Amino acid sequence: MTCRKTSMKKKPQPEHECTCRGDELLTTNGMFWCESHQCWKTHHWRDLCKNKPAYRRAWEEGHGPGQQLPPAERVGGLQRKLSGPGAFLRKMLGCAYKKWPHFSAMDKEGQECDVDKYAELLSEYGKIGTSEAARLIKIAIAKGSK
Amino acid sequence: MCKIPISDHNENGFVASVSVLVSYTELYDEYYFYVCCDDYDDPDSGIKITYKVVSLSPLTIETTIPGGGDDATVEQVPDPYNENQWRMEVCADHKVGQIKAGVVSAAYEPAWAKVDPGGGTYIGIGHNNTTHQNRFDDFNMEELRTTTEECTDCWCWCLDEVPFKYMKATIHDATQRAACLNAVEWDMTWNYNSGTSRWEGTAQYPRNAYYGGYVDVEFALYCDAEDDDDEDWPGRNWTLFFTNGVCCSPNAGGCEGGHQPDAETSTCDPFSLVFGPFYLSSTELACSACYAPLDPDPMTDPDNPLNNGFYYITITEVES
Repeated sequence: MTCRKTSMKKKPQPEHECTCRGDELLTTNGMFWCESHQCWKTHHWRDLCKNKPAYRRAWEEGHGPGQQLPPAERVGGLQRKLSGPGAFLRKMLGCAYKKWPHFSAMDKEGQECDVDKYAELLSEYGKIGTSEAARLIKIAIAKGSK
Repeated sequence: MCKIPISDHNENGFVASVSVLVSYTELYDEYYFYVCCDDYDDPDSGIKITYKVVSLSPLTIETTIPGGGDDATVEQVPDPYNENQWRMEVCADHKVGQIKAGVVSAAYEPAWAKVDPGGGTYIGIGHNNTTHQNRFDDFNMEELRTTTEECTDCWCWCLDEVPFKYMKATIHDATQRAACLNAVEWDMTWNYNSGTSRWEGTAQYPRNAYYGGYVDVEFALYCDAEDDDDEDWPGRNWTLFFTNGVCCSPNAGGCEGGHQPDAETSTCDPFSLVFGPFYLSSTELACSACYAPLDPDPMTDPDNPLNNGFYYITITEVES
């Protein structure tokens, strides 16, 4: 069982209304310039501003969607490198891969895992050879069974 | 009904499960979990989750969370490899105001509803079958958290927030060639069927007037319940993937890389995960979004601003 820290605090509720109208500098694709929050918004974001206090508060405080952007210098880059066969193994088996029934040397029926089946999948999606895929899966199984 | 409360603090919640023997299961049997009850003598003081047998071949269980709307009733086929019993499960969380209930190891997603079960601390099981014997096995119940720790994950967390199963993605602040993507929005909907927690959706990137129509670009947002308490990186346990290999190759990792939300601009309260900037460049000839043959030739004029641009994707809650 994994425990993580948590808090029990309740959120304060803002008292004011969203000041974006939705027709300011309206563009053909539906975006408009919200003068009071100094950012471009879609009508979905305007509805969040109107109906969800937490979003409205974020825009009022200057850190709502569209108000601050990651630097353009990062264009095309990954925030964390997840490419390669490992990423595909993770995608195939899912985030809960450590608990996945087939991600152990034996499945729940007591049969040995069909590594070849998953190696084929990993090879196809990870664009690596099947032997390399099988090797990676066996390493993962060994780690998972420790 | 258990006469011992699961805990004495009401910001808690339950995760509970019990197995029902198949050999004692008949058509239209109903089984119940009574959760978050205030009084152990009064099942109506909590929420009653109903598990109804609607088919015996294949065995199919209909789970209903009361007050949860149309999608709070689902039908599930239990794990066919376990022929002897099926297991009903519920996670009722007063703190986040949500309930998830269904059959363990089923192929289809459980019911998931924004229903606050209340702060009661008693739980019980029940049935409506008076004409035949009922047999249960392995009754298990746990509290979801103590006053300081989260002990059982029923949800995908973003710090202390729990997004619901419907989200919306928005492209914004797109530049140059990518400018036509501004305001493109699409639904990201939870899909349990893959066996992992992920939200999926398809964006329609517009082509320009020469081609007309749209390019379908598919996305999946994966949630990892671990590493969800990093205050310096809200949304760290979420990863966005392009899943159909379209209009993504110029980005690092090609179309196979996972993209994590920006640490500085993403927030969990409100839920707003910011991804990008993503390239829409001259080198990606296979992507016809925002590009036509009458535009500057990307092969001979790759630096022309009309051939290159970037954009951001922000994923938020839906309005209701």
